[in-house]
Amino acid sequence: MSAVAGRLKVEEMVVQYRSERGLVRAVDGVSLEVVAGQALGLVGESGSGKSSLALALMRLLPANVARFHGRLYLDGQEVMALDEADFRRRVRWRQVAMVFQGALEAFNPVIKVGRQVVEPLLQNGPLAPKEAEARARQRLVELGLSPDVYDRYPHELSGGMKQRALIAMALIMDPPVLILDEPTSALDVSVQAQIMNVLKGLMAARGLAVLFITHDIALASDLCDTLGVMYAGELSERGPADEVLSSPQHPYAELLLASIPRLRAGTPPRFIPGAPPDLAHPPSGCRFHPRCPYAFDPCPTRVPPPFIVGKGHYARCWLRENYPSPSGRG
Amino acid sequence: MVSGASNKPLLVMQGIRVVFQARSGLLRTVPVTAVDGVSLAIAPGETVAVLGESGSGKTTLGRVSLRLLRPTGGRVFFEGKDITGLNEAHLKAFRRQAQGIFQDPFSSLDPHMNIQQILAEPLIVHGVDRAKRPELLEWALEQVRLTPAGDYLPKFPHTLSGGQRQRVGIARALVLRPRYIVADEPVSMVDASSRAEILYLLRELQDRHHIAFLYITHDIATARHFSHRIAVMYLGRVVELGPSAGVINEPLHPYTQALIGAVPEPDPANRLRMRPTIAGEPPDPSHIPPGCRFHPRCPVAVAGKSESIDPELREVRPGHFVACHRYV
Repeated sequence: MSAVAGRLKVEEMVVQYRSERGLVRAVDGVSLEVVAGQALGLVGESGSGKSSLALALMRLLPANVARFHGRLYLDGQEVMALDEADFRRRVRWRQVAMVFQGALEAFNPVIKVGRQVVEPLLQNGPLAPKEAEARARQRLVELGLSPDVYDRYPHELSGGMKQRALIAMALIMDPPVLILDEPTSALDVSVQAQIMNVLKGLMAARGLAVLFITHDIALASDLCDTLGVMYAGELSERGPADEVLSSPQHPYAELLLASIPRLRAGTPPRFIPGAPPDLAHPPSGCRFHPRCPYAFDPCPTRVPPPFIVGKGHYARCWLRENYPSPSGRG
Repeated sequence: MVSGASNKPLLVMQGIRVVFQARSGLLRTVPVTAVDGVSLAIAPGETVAVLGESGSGKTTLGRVSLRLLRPTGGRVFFEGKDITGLNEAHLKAFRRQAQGIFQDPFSSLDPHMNIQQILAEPLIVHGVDRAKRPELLEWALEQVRLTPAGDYLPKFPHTLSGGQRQRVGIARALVLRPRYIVADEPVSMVDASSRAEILYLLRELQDRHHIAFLYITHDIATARHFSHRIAVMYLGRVVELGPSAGVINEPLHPYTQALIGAVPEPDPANRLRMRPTIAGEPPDPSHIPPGCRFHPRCPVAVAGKSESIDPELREVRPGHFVACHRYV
């Protein structure tokens, strides 16, 4: 590879589901890249396709998948072509691991936490059980837990402790890439802050590349170097977090930011009228146009391509077609 | 100023205490004190936010105020009348006046009911004349801007967006024309882009119909924007109570201060720093610490006092109360 390859690189990923209403276009040509030691925040509302994308990267999609294609590179190597046996042996948990949404409730209540944390290692690893156990205890400590959490049952742990144990489980095979899907949405705000700090520490210590999936753009801003804003199966805007937060270029990103009630500023929150579209029948042209206050001539009919609005920053919006000095900032 | 603050309070809770027997192991039960001596008065047309984390007792307090739960101790008054000990037959008049809006408005309802059936149920329960019902249903849907009503009445909840579903939940609470509504996490299942829309709608309905709201939430920012006063709860106690702007801009209790510090805002500078956190795990209502119940996690606990003396809620600024030894 000539350029520095991202730890995780996704190109033109497509996921479609069969449903009674027809084909649901959950992920529609998403491309992104995450480099070592950095986090990309994938922000979107329910049904925007962000969790489907994550499951696609782990190749753990539900059975009603109709179409699933695109390219997935891990450390520069394409892995979509691998068959399931190879993917399981070489990729899943080893090169890319995931903390699933709602997994706090997925612990088996009658099996000790440590036995569950160590599970991926015993399934796939070359380590003897004693070594595996030692490594699991070490991971728990790395996550700020006492090593004897290994010997406890899930009900003996608080929500925050369980979430840490889940992250320890995902990291047990030392994967360079970690996907986190709403890792703190079930937790109280005071515990959420603790988990976010743990993640910051892990990224710095391990050089982890993180794909952080959340509906909460404020939370994403806490961790992420890059933000991708998903709407109706597409990345409507992607760019450096500070630019997207301070001057969003896609109207959806702008309005989503304005919808967040601010604690410290007095401006009242706004909202986006209407609801996200049915992805079995997405709107023509720009998918956001029926809800967009700035929609004009081309929007209902022509699909906007990603217009470059800065270095590593694009927005799929016709307003940005003639963005001033497209080369000036890059 | 708080609208209607000079009026006589609509709902008054005095020294509310709720103790549950929680199962612990196979045969043992342990007492869990969910609410421990809370007094709160709500004026007509006022919104009081009850802000707290899990285990704070905020939902239990809301259920007591609706008399869905009889408190272990303390009294509940509605329009000056003591309703603490009333049985279901005598609560009927109160039930028409006091309604609830919940996180998932349909989780407790039969999924085969359409919107018409869902909205008509309270009318049937309260014996509203069959001939008057269609008009009331239409009125309720108009109030929450699901129009034309005829389009929505035959629909089923699962065909609606999160925001639309919660509007139906609000219409259902509204259809009996209540004076008091408990809204328990009404927008936590609604998409971020629609949350403010629902909360503005509640405020508009409040202005139009002079409804008092108890807004139960973990979301400090919406409490700030959509309530007149905020009561911060910790382990069954109100630890701070005051005008919303005062509580957020000048929080007095160390717990309130820490909570506010822990809330992320979409600021690029966040990434470069660790977030302030509250030490330790959220506490367990079956093991309430002695003294000030926040003292084991408090960075500024007063030695010799906090671990032994339970601080009372006292007014330290006009209308702004705090339960903390630092303000004595």
